[in-house]
Amino acid sequence: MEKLKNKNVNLKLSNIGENLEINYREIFEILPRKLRNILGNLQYSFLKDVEEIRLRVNKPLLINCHGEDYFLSENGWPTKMIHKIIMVNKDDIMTCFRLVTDYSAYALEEEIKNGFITIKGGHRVGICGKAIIENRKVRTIKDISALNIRISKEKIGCSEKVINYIINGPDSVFNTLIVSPPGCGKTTILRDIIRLISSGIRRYNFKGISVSIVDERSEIAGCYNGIPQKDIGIKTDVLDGCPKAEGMIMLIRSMSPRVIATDEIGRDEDIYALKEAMNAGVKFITTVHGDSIEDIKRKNISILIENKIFERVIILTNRPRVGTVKEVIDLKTNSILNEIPIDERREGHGT
Amino acid sequence: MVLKLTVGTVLLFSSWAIGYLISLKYGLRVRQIEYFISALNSLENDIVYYSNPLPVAMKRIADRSHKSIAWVFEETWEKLNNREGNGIDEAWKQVINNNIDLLFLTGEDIEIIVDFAKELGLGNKETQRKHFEYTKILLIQQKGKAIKEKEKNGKIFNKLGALLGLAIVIILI
Repeated sequence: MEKLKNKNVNLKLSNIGENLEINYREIFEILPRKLRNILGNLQYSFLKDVEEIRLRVNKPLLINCHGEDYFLSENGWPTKMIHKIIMVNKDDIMTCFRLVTDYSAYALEEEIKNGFITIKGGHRVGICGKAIIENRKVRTIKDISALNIRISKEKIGCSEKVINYIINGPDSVFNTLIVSPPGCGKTTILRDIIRLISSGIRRYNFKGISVSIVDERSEIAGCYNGIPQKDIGIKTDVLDGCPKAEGMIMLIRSMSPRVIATDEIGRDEDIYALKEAMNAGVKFITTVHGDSIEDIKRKNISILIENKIFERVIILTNRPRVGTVKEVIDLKTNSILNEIPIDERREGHGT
Repeated sequence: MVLKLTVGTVLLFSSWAIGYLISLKYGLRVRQIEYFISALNSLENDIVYYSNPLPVAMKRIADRSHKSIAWVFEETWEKLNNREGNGIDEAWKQVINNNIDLLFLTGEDIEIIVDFAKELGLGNKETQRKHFEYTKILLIQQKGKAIKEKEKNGKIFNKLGALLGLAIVIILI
C-alpha cells in the first residue's frame, strides 16, 4: 500500500489516443490486510495490467493479467509455479466480503442475489457460494467460497474512431448496435460513445444531447451509492440496477431522453421495449453478443435488423487487440462504412 | 479527644465510601447493560428498517448513546471508516479489549457483546433481526442476574463499609 501511495495512487497513463485511469486505492481498500501487503509489493508495470483478482477458499490467490493467470509468491512476485505461493483461507474471503459490502451485506440483498456487487470506482466483485432458493428464485448466497474482483478500466477516447459513423447531424444519432464476442470491449466503447454524444463533440459540431442509460448490471456507469463512477457525459441520466425492458419504458415516460443506451439486449421484452422507444422517437444505442451480422441474424434481435430499425452495426474484435473495430455497417444500404473515406461518407448522409 | 474524633470520623467516612463505591459498581453494571440493550435496539432499527450501511449506523448510535458506552460505537466507526482491512468483529473486539476498564461488566457480559459482532452485517435483514433478538435476550438475562447481584451484594457492601469503619473506630478509641 505504501509503495503505491508513494507512486501517487491515482495513476494516469497516456497511451496512443487513450487515457487509462485506475484508482488502485479502491481495490486495495476491499482487500484484507494480509493480501493488501502482498499486492502492494507488485511492480506497477504488472499491476496496471491486472484485470482480475480471484480469491477462492483454500486455493492460491490468482491474478489475471493479459488473459494469463498468475499466482503470487510469498514475497509478492507473480509466478506460474505452485511453490511457496500465497493461499487464501476462509477468513480472508469473509473479511474481503465484509469490506466489499462495507460491512453491510443486508443493504445489498438484491446485488448479492444477482451474484455481484459494484464497488466504488465501478469495479465489480463476483460472489460464489451456496445459493439459497425460495420459490424457485435465489433468495441469497451464503457460505461465500469465492470472490472475483474485476478491475474496471475506463478508456476515455476509445470511441473516437467510430463516433462519426454514429452521429447524424448536429443533434441526432443513428440507432446503433454494437456486436462482439465477450471480452472485446463492447461496454467500454458504449460508455465512451455515451460520453461523447452527451457532452458534445466540437470537431463535428455536434451538440450534446440528453442520454438515458438503463444499467441493469451497473457495468456502464459503474454506479456506487447511486453516483456514476465513470465519465458518462454531462447530459446523462442513469437508471441503475433496473431490468432493461422495464427501465427503457420508465425512462421514456419520465426522463424524455433523446437517446437510450443499454447493454447486452437479448430477451423478447427488450426487443419490445426498443420498439416502444422507436415509436416514441427516441434513438437507441445498444450491444449484443455475437461474431458477425450473420450470427446475430439468428437471434431474436434479427427482427430489428431485418426491418432496418437499427441503422448502424459496429462489429468489434479482440484481434490484434481488445476494442478493434472490424466493421461498421450501414444497414440501410447494406454497405461497410469503414472502407469508405470519412468525408465521402459524411456527405453521403447529409451530415 | 478532638483529634481522636476527627480521625475516627475520617476512618468511618473512608470505610463507608469504599463500601459505597463497590456497591455502586453493581448498579453501574445494570445501567451499562441497559444502555447496550437500548443501543442495540437503535442499531437494529438503522439496519433493518433504514438499511443504513453499518459504518453510518455505528456513527449514529455513537452520537445517540449514553456516553459510558458511546465510545465503543465511536471507536469502531473510526476503525471501519479508516478501512484498515479488519472485519467488524476484529475491530469491535479490539476496541472493547483496549478499554475494558471503562466497562463495569462481567466476563460473561463482555463475551456476549464481543460475540454479537461476529455475525453483525452478514446475511440479510431477517437474519440480522434474529441476530439482534438473540443478543438482546441474552443481555436481558444478564440484566436480571445483575439486578439480583446488585440487590444482594450492593446492599451488603454498602452496609459492610460503614460497619467495618465503625468497628475500626471503636477498636482504636
